Amino acid sequence: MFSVRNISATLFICLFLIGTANAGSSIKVENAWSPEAPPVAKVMAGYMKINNLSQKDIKLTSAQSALFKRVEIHLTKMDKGMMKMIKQDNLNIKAKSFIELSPGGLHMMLIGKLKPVKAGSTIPVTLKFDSGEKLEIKLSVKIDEQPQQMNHHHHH
Amino acid sequence: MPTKNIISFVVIGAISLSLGLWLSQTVRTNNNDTQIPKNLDATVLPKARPLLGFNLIDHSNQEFTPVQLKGHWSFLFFGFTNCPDVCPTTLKAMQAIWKTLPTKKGEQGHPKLFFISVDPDRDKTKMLKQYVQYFNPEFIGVTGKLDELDKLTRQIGILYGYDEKEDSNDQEYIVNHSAQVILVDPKGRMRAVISPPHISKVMAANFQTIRTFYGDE
Repeated sequence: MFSVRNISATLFICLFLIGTANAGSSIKVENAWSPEAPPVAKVMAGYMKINNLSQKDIKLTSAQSALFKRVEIHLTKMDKGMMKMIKQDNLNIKAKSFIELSPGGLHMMLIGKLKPVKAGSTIPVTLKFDSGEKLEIKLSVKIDEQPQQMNHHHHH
Repeated sequence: MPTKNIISFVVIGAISLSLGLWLSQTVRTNNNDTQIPKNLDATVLPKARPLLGFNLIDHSNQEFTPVQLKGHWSFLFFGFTNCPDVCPTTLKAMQAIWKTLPTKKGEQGHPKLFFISVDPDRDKTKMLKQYVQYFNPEFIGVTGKLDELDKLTRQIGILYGYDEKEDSNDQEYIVNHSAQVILVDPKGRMRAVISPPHISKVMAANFQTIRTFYGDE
């Protein structure tokens, strides 16, 4: 016969297991930020480092934000003398690896600003992965005073 | 023709020729125009290229023609305001350069920055003004008709094009464009091309080197 204590312990373990198997456990997002844009700008960019802690490759398949009409993943690439923004249908993150979205390389393009967004605030973004996982993140909106270097994206 | 006259003709000719050669030599050594400063992260044109024959408008709806490029150094950057990554990043770099300039607005050698929108369908002058002045109140937005923009971009070697643009009412399309920053001398001539990545410290130092080398005239 199960005691109350045993039941609660079992429940606790079950909840713990569900918790670890659920959203965010295999993916960790760091340094998610967005440079403040001129108030008249209708688009902004999102940068971050996405870590895949799991043993399997994961694809970021879409992103959305309540503050923008839509969110796309783009790669800025020099092609025939022009900087082109190439829309990425998804972003593959290898097992036990990470991908970096940074100025001049991969970025999230936040399209159709619905409300004013100022430095000091955050932009909520939902990331969806092919594993079915969803991750809620917040981009810190910053006035980036530092002279920036336009990095090229890294695949590790 | 008497012999005497022939001799004087030859002598005068020889003197003029030597004088001309000497003068051109002197002018060349006193004027660095055809030489290039060393150790730069920018491509300096051995021969400055005059920029001619374009008629655009600035963000205050004033004419922007070759005349507006004279009397000061100018940085030109081509882009569009619906650009999330390259344009704001470059304008941030320009903003940082402006903070380190040894000169103030109106002083000799103080440059101007012209952000030239190659997306006139969406970038109207009023919003272009608000956009550029967010980065620095001195910055000037410029745009114009496509054929007039082409007159300028073709002389400079700047390319641009639209992706997925359906018609003139389409509000969501991408503009691909060259990301070089062009340095124009006070005579309104293209002097240097600065390619990305645009690192403000390097650009600021290069600008001062070029400025000192060629002078502010």
